[in-house]
This record gives sequence, structure tokens and C-alpha cells, in this order.
Amino acid sequence: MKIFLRSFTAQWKLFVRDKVNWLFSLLVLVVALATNPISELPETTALGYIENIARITGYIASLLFVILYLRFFLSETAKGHNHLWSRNAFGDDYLLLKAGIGIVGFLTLIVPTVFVTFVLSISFFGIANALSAIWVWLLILLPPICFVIGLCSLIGLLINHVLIASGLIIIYLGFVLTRSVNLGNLLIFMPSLQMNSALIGFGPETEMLIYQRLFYVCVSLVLLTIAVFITDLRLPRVKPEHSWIAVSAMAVLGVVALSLSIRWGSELLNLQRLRSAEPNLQTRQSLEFACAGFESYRLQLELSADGAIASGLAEVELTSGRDLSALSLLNTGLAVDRFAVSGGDPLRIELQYHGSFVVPYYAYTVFDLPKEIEQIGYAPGAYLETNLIFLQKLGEWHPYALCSPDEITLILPADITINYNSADTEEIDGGMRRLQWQQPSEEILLIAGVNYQIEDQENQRIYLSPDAGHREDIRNEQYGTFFRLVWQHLNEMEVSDFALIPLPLIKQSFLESQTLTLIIPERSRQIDYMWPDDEVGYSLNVAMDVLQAWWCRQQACPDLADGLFSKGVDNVYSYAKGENTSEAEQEDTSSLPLIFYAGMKLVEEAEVPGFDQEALLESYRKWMRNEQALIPFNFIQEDQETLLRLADFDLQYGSEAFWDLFLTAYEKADEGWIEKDVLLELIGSVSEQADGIETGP
Amino acid sequence: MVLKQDHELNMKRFLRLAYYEIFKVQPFLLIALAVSALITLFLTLDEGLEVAERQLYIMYILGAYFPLLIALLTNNGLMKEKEGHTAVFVCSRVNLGVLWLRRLILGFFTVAIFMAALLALMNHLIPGLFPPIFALTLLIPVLFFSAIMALVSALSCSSAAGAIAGLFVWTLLYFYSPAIYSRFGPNFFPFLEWAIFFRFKAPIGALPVNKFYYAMLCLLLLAITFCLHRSNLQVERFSRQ
Repeated sequence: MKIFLRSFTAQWKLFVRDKVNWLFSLLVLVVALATNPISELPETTALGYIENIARITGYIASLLFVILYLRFFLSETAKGHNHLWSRNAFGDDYLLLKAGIGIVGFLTLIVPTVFVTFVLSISFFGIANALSAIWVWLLILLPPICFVIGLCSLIGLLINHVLIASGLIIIYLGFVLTRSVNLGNLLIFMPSLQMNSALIGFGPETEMLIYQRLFYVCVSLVLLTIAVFITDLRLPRVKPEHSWIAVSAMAVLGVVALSLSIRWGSELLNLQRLRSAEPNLQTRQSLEFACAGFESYRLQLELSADGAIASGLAEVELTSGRDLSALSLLNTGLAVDRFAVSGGDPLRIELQYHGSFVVPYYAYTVFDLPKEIEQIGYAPGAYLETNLIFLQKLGEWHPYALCSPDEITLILPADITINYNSADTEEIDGGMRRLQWQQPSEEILLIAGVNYQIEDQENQRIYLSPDAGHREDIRNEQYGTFFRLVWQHLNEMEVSDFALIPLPLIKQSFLESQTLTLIIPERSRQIDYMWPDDEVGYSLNVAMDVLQAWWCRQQACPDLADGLFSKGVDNVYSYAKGENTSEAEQEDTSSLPLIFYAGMKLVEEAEVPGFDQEALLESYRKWMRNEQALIPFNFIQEDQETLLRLADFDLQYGSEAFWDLFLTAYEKADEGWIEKDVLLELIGSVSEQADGIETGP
Repeated sequence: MVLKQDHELNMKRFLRLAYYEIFKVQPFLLIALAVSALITLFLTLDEGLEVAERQLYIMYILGAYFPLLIALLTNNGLMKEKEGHTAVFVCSRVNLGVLWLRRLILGFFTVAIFMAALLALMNHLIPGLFPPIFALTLLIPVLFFSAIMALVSALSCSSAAGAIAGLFVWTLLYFYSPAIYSRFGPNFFPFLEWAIFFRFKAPIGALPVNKFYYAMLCLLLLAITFCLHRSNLQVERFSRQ
């Protein structure tokens, strides 16, 4: 042991004294600082910052470290080191020593990067956040480096030539690293995460990330064990006699590492299969029509402390004899225990289920999705983990996910903190909390388990994440401002005592009008992708989000939200508005210019710097005349006409008349959509009324 | 008189020298070329792929990865004299700058022949698969990464430092390729042949301008490297290490 430690120290000194290795250290530091400029730190979160640096460091370091490690690993196999190989102890410990120094040496070389990052984290996010980020460094960075060391040791021993071995490994790693695949791919040893939230960390990706990391640590061990077994064959050493204990120990280690690799790998593939599930659009469409035949729909759900569904029971009474067995949209992580049909008229259906709720990729991916999937919003409708439990009325946590339940009973451990609920009754009995909803009207049923910091400001209660940064402040301020303006114009009163709750995963805001709570997306790819580069665009998005939350407060309309935030990128719309709606009516998207124009008015009123409504309208007029102009929302021709018509109306009759028109249009809308003819008719009638008032006796 | 005759560069001597420099000094280059040829020909003949997919994958290999591989393998051309402690001996016979340039030119001559033959063969198998001009243009990224590695190696007297610097530049250019393409456009994109078939759909007309810029940059880097080696001060630095 003493000799080993002495050799270890000597080898470590050799490693750190090599000036070339510090070039690696310098390059990693430069990349870390260049890709995360200090000026942008106030606009990010502690977790986002550390994850980004650890990931970029991981990408660059994995490739560059190949050269350093192979050079170091094979340094004694070149000519001129025979005296070392003449000693058995050197050859015995060679692999262990080199691999150990590889890890310790890597940690030494990234000390400058970690130190600078840590200091910046403390100064921008506080010491508690900086310390909590250490596990992110370890989780993200160590497994790939262990893998690189394992792979380089094995290939280095087999090829025994630095240049060829490094060329081969770099090509392999480069190929693997540059592939854009998700966490479940067994080749990807340095995954890029799509979710980082100040409230739930890596959220739905956490479980897969941990399996992925465990898998790669075990694979690294397998590679190293194979390398140990070929050491005697490939190293220029005097062949020693090995004790059977050492050989058996290595064999056992190898078998254990291999078994664990297979186990974690299969767990990962299993989760990957569940998470890759795509929404069943056909069943969704059929179910929407089937919901009309429900006489009653009751749900009973019991959650365990870790958020899993211990037992769920759905009871449906149907007037018609429609077969519901193929219409279940139950989440892929949930298993059906019993499906029973009884009675004649009405037909009674009971469906029992249990399991862990799985959030599929499409629900939170940062990549663009097909329009049909974007239009269904956050379709899973729930997140059930220890750090966050949230339920939407419509979601895959119950089998007939698109049918509004008449009665919901939810039982969960009483020690789970409830942050928000819209239940009618609530009672605690024997350590369990029982919540009940009768004909729930609010879209969000429950938010629980989040470690919010609640801040009471003037007339508003804001829920903040534990490490609220500048970005969060700006978001809350904008939502607060626009919500006040919307309430003032559309409810004709000053808003008092409203709450603002950020919620991860959801794609657009929900307004719970009874409790006056605006539940906003913590981060939304569609809404805040342009922030902070385009503050005006961001403000306009927030204004439209608040308006759609108000507009869709009585029935969810994610397709309208998608129409608003996709901004006409794919403006061939086709919205299902009812069984008998004609094709022309389905393509009528006149709600979009109405809400967009209302959003513009709010931004103008909020005096957002840099916003010029008149210039924007002029751009649309130019566009209509086929002149070149920069427009933020690429409407179809009909909608552009509607937009300009609304602008003329507003100019002529004033703001009050416009908001009256907006209110009347809302009453005429069907599932969020209003037809162009109806809207134009309204403009005409409101104009007449206004003219009548102006010119009347 | 006899001495003068010995040093005359006749064809036989040149061929012997070329054989030595290519087959004895850089044997791994030939292996890499053979492996690259096998992979690209396999892709060319893979009927399971659409022609557009074959074009994309082949250019992904030849346009993005091949330059890095060749640069890594040729970077050791002169540095191996240092690592083998033979630099002082070599220096007494030939100027290090000349030796480096000779090995570089012979290496690239080999790569150029390989590229021309490979593209001719691929175009013979699938007519019109790639424009013939690619045989020349694909050499520029190879030269670019080799020049970066050679310069840093010459400055630091370490092939590892050169390899790290070259790999670092490649990694940045590759990982940030979408940003680089959208910011600077096709004229300055380092992997243009790949970009032509990739989602960037770069215009083929940008090739001459792009290659001209990169060729000029390569010549500058190579000239600096040549001057560094030519001064032979490197030998002194080599022997000190």
C-alpha cells in the first residue's frame, strides 16, 4: 500500500508537471467562460448555469482528455523505461495507478474552471445554490470521464500506439457526442438535458439521468476489468504468477460490473420505451366525441409519498352502449388492474389502475414538434414526483383524459405541502389528506410539494423558486403588469389580491378565476425563447399569454395558444371545432389577430421601451401592399385584413370600444375560436352603436 | 565530384525518398486512408440508403471527420524526430524546415491521389454522386487542421499540444457549426462540402470563395510554421527538453 501511494504521488506529480496538460486546463476554462458570459449570468438560474458549464466542459474535455490520458497511459511503454518494467510492483499496479491518476489528474486540471465557476455562482446565486450544484458537476462530468479513461485504457493496451489509439477513440467519441439523441440512447455517454428548472431540477429527466450515469460508471468498470485481464499480454513486463484470490476478485468485479451495466441499461431502455410514447391523436379525437355520452364520470385516486399512484379508480356511466375499452388515454407508466362493464342502461364501467406517472419526451422537449402535437399543449396533464405533484383536470392521470370528471376524490399523505388547490372540500384523517371536487371548473386541480418562497407584494402574492434570479423577477413583473391591465379592461375593476404561481412543464398560463390565481409557465419554449435578446417580443408574448389565459379560462384551448405562439410559422391551420364544422370554418383563425392586437394594446399601455405600435401596424399595411416589411406574426391574408380592420376600429372609436368588442367576441367564441364573419359583424354592430352614441340625439 | 553526384535529385532517388517518407515514416496515414476508403465505399454501395443519405453520410465522414484524422496523423511527421531523440542528427543532414515541408507535401500528395481516386470510383459506381471538384476542395479542410496542429506543435515543440489545439478548434467549429453558419454564412464555413448536403443546404457556388479564404489562411499558417522550423532553433529547444 505504501509503495502504491508513493507511486501514485509520483505519477500524479508527473502528470501535473506536464505543461501540455495545463493547456487542456486553460482551454476548458476559456470555453467555460466564453460560452457562459458573466453578463448573462443574472438572466439564468444556478442549476442552468452549472449544468451548462458542466455539459460543455464534458463535451470538450471528453475529446481533449483522450490525447492527454493516452499519452500519459502509454508513456512508460515507449523505449527507455525497461528499468521500470523490471520491477514487478510497477507492472502489477500499472493499470490501477494510471486509471486512478487519470481521474485525480482530470479533477486537478479542471480545478481552475470549477473554482472560477464556484466563485461566480456564489456571487450571483448565493453560497447555498453554489454548494448544491456540486452534485451536478459530479453527476454530469465524472461518468463520461470514467468512461473515457476505461475506453482509452483498453484501446491503448490493445493498440499500444498513442496516435492510432487517440485517432480511433476521438473519431468514435466525436461521432457519438455529436448525435442528437435523447437520454435513453445507450451510446450517448454525455447526454444533453432538455429540462432544467429552478423548482424541480431536471424534472422528468432525473430518473433517466441517474440510470444513464450508473450505466456508464458500470461500463467503465467493465472496460477496466477487461483491460486488467489483458495487461500481462500487452505490457512489456516480466510475466508474474498471479494469486488465484486476485484473479477471482477481478473476475467477480468484472461480472458484477457487467451485470449492473446490463441491469441499468435495461432499466434505461425500459424507461426510454415509456417516454418515447407519442400522443395517440386518433384516440384523442374519438374520445372527445365519446365524452358527450358520459352520464357521470367519477375518479378516486390515492397517491403514495413518492407521488406514485397507489390506486386509481375511474367509474363511468354511459347512456349509449359505446365501447370505451379502446379509448383509454391512461399514461404509459400506469397499469390497468381491472376493467369491468356492468348494468344495461346506463352502462357502468369501472377501471382500476396503479403505477408511476411517466412524462413523455414530447411533453417537454425543447425541439420543435409537429403542429398536431404542439396543439394539444401539455397533454399528460400531471407531474407526480416527490418534489412536485400537480394535476390538471384533463390529463392522462385518468383513463378518459379529455372528459371532464364530475367528481374527483384525491387522497394523499398529509405531510405533503399543498401550494394550491381548487378542491371543494378538504379533510385530514389518519395522516392522509382527502380532497374532493364536485363538477370541477378550474383547470388546475392541485399543486403540491414544491418548495416555493412566497412573497407578498402590493395586492399580489408571488410564488418564487428557492433561487429566484433576475429572469424570474422580470417574468413575474411582466405577468403581474399585464394581468392587472387585462383585469382592469375586461372586468372593469382594479384587481386586488391575486396570486402568481409559476409551474414547470405547462406551456401556457391558466387563470383560476374563482381564486384569482394566474398559474404561469416557469419557462416556456414558445413564450420566452427570445428573452433577453428581444424584450419587446417577450413582452408581447407575455401579454398574449395572459390574454389567452383569460380567454380560455372556462375551457382549455391549447390549440389557440399554439396558434398564438407559433406566430404563423406554419399558418396552414386546421382546428377541430366540432363534428359538424365545415372545412372553411375549421381554417378560420380570426381569434389570432384579435388577441394579437389586444396584446399589442397592452404592451403599448404598459409603455414597454422600444415598442412602437404605429410602426408595427404600418409594417402590416406595407405587407398587405406586397411591399417588404418585417412583421412579428405571419398571419394568413384574411387575418391580416382582420388585424388592420381592428386597428382602424380602435383608432376610430377608441380603447373602450375595442375592449367592449373583445368582450363581446369572447361571448361569441366557440372553444376559443371566433369566425371571421361573426367578428366582422360584431365590429359593424359595435361601430353602429358607437356612432349612435356619438351622433344620437 | 562523387559527392555532388550523390546529392543530385534524380527520379530514382526521389522515388526512394518518397517511398521512405510515405511508407516508413507515415505508415498510419496509409492505414487511415484505406479504412476511410472502405467505409465510404461501403456507404456508396449501401442500397438501403437513399442517394441523398449516402451523399450526406459520405460528406459527413470526408468533410468533417477525415480532416481531423489526417491532421492528427500527419502532425507527428517532424515531432517524432524529437520524440525519438533523432532531431539533432537529422538536422545535421537536412534543414528541419525543409524536412517538415517535404513530409507535409508528400503526405498531402498521397491524400490528394487518394481523394481523386476515391471520388472517381464513387462517381463511377453512382454517376454524378459528387462534383469532381471535391477532390481538390476536400483537401483544404485537411490542410487547415494540419496547419493549426503544425503551428502549435512548432511553437510548443510538442505534438500533443498541437493535437490538443487542433482538436479544440475542430470541436468548437463542429459543435457550433449551426451558429457559425448562420452568423458567417457559407463563405466562411469550414466544413462546406458537408454543409452542402446537410440541413444548411449551402450553395455549391460558395466553394471557390470559401476555399480561397481557407487556402490563404492555411498558407499563412504553414509559412509561419516553416519559418519556425527553418531557423533550426527548434533543434536547440528540442534538445533542451
